[in-house]
Amino acid sequence: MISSDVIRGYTDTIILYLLLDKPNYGYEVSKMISDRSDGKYTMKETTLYSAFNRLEKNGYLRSFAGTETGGKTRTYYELTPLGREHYETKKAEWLLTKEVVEKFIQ
Amino acid sequence: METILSYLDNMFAHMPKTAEVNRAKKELSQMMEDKYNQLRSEGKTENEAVGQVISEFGNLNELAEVLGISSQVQEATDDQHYILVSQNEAEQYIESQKKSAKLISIGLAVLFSGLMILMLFLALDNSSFLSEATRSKLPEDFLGGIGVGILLFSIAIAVYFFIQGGINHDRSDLFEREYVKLDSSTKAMLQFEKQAHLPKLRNNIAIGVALILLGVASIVIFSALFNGADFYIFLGVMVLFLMIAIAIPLFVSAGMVDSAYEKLLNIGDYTLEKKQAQARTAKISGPYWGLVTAGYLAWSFITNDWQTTWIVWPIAAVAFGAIASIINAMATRKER
Repeated sequence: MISSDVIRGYTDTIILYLLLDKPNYGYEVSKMISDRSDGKYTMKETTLYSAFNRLEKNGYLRSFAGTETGGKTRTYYELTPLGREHYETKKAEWLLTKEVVEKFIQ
Repeated sequence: METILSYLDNMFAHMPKTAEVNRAKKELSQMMEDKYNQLRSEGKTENEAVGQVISEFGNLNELAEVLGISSQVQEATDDQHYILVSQNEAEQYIESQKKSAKLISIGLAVLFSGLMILMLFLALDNSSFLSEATRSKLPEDFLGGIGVGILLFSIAIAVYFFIQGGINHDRSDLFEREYVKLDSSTKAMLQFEKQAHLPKLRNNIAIGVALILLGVASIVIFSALFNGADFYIFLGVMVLFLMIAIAIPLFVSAGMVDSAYEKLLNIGDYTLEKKQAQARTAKISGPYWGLVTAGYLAWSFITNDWQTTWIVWPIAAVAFGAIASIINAMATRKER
């Protein structure tokens, strides 16, 4: 099981990554996280919403009301240019972190 | 779905009604509804879907931080002694109790099956199926001896299962003695799960009680019909043990899980007061039941009156209740 303490520093980056291609809404993002991790990590709803809220306040995300084809109105989140930049920074940071940690824990 | 909405209402009941809080609530309810619908479409039952959605909701404190209302969510801490249990720990505890309940149930079923088989051999020993000729060829007490051997063997197996089921790898024995404090979302999750478990508990108890009554009735009927012939009384006791072997695991498996929820929620048989009382009687319950078991076996083996000695158990159970209440009455008087 993944410790939430360990992954906490990267929840924001994971969400930014999942929004790189196109805007999306809460449940879809949460589903992508579970699916891509083969069910090994499920982001709690409060964690996800807190992250959306924080990222929006920092100007990395923008939200708008959108409608799925034939579906309900949902809040979509879209990456801002600043968010894209932030993602690149965090990605570089992670690659370095990973490299260093792997030198010690194998 | 209504359960989820009322769960969410509950979570937000003590939050200030700001625009930001309302938005958070709306967003969360949308995400939960989406997840619920997805799970339902995958074929999960209503209960399974609601259970999963609630257990994956998370923690309100986390939300409060970004909404800038941390102070309101923090529950007022008093100076009462308590232990703090996280959602993760609570979930692991429930899982481990479910596993323990299974192991202990198997042990009990084996134990009472052993007693049942012993009764079968004793019944045969007192029957007319064996002619005097065959009987004279067998060593003395041959059938009873085999029965006792099987009983001892089944006790050994049962003890193995009891030990396996009784092992705690963590601090969970504290949940029986201390006031458990949970965050509000974990508390709501456990309340829901306990509610969902209730039908199973009721069913198991009803079936178990019916089986045991049937077993007791079989003794009464057999001895009445056959003028108390030993063979039929043994047969009746055998039926009783068979019924107990099925019924007790039903009680234990559902009861232990329900108790686990009560311990975490400090309700039912595990309110703070009862936890304190239990901590007092826990000191004597181990030795007490050990003595009763030893007494039962000694009496049975010495007198060979297996058709009478089972009466030890109901008497011991009633006496234990009396002793426990005397201890607690004395303890509470001392505190005053």
